[in-house]
Amino acid sequence: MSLLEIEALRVEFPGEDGPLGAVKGVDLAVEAGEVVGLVGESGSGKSLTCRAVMRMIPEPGQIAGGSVRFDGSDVLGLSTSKLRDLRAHSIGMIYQNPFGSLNPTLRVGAQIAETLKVNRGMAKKAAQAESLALLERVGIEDPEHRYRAYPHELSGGMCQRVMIAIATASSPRLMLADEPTTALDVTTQAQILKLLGQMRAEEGMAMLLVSHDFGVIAQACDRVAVMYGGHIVETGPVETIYHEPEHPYTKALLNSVPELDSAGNVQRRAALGGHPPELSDVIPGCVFAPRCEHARPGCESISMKLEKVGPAHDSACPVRPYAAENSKANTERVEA
Amino acid sequence: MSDAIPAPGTQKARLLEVENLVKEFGVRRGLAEVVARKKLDPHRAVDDVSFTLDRGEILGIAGGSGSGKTTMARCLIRLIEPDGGAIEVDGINIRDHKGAELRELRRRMQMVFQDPYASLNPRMTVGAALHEAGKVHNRPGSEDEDAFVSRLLGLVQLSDRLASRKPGELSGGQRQRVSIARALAVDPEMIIADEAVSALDVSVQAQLLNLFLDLREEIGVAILFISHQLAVIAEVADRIAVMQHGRIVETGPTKEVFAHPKDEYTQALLRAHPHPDPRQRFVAS
Repeated sequence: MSLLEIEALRVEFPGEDGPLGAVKGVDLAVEAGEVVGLVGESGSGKSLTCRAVMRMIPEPGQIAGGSVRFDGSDVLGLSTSKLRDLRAHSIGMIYQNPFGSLNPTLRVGAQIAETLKVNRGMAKKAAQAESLALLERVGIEDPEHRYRAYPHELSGGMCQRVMIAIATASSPRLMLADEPTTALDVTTQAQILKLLGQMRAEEGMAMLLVSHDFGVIAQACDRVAVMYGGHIVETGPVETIYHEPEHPYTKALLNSVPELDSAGNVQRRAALGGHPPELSDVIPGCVFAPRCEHARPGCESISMKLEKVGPAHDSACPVRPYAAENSKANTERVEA
Repeated sequence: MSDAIPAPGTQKARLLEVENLVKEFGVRRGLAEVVARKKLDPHRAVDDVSFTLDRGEILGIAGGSGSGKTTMARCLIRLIEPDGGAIEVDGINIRDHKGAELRELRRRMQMVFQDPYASLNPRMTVGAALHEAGKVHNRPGSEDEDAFVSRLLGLVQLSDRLASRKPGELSGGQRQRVSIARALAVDPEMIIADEAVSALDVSVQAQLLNLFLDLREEIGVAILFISHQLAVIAEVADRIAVMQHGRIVETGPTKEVFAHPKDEYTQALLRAHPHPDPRQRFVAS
């Protein structure tokens, strides 16, 4: 049994002509201690999938079907108080905008201590001492001084460290990280990714990392699920996905990622035409077919089911246009 | 510059020359400083910046948030009034002019912003917005609205049908193309693209980067390409200037700077770049 098991998850928003699907039947599992990435463009449903784990879908959206099991218990069926326990002790969450998630009128130390008092029943003194230890652990220098700072007195990177301190205060077994470094400078981003990697190594914490940036995913994840239009289109070990993508969308996404190596060798990339589907777009069959150069008759009626294409590697594309070159690359690698 | 792109026709290659540009912002004093009657030094957002841009050249400006990239760009067309230095377009110092002459200089340097939603009037059709820009500056061809709009939409690779739409009906990528078309409506010699692709999805971002390269090739426009992402600059820029704390800390041909960065900050930026290949990780796991 996996630590987190998401099955056939559906998230819907009300529309003029009936509900609109934002997440359309997602299956995903995270093992204990594993870091899984969810990568995709805007509107792919990656954030909603992540939020559904905590039942934090923004109104008027709702979870319309499927199941979420954490450590064997059904999250969607939990009572409010049990859900509160789950959020307090078992699952931590950090978001894109650290300023938005901290209370601007309270000193950051008080916000960490509050979490400890409520979730772990600590006395005031103990909570304060533990808060200082947490600040130190997330790499904040001079914690006694920072303990008394307000969020606006800290940089974005430092606020995100405070958020990580709060989220990991009760040693959760799973961390949900929704674009945790998107609002940060690249140098700060590297530090936060290192910190998350370090927390994982020390605590054996599993993580579901949501990002639009394949670079961030590649840095931090063991496994990755690529989302597009509310579906997972491909999933596998991060190395396999980067070097041998099977789904045409994954391939196109990776082709679009700007790279430092292009410096001095300016050339046009084979860019994907069109734009990602919006919530109101109803696309029959494969959601990627309208932008896919390998689309063929029949693609408009396939069911977007993930099929095994390799060890721990699944793709939702039955056409498999890159299967031959991937298996060739694979053989060469094995021989070498 | 040895890697300069040769000037088209008889025009001089050098288009823009910025020398010792300075912009300072006053710092608000806290209570303690007011009580102590302490004078605070103003914050130098742009600190003695000098660079040049040739016709048809793409110069990337990199740097973290707060490094002064945007302030510097805004100073170039005096959206923010600089405090010192010279900005010369074809030898004409933009700081010496006002009124009609300033408007004409601004016509030659057009800006494209990060958020196309905020920079387009939501109640104006795409066609009307493009035509208005041309009409204001009396551009040749702007008498015939349909032909004028159609040529511009063609330049940014959009269909003529979009002319009757409003910004709200377009996708983010289409909107940014319209912003670029509106900049092109006044026949600028230079585009200042301030984080123009940063808010877009990567697949759409790649299309827009190609568009900038096409425009440089087709109409020879020079581009000052501002981005916090080094990899995006690597995709399009001939030269790069790296900014930190309001100063240009390193500049040179993009390839050279990326292969052999001399400044510590440039080195730190390059080291922190998250490579999409998991085999090139910096995070030990």
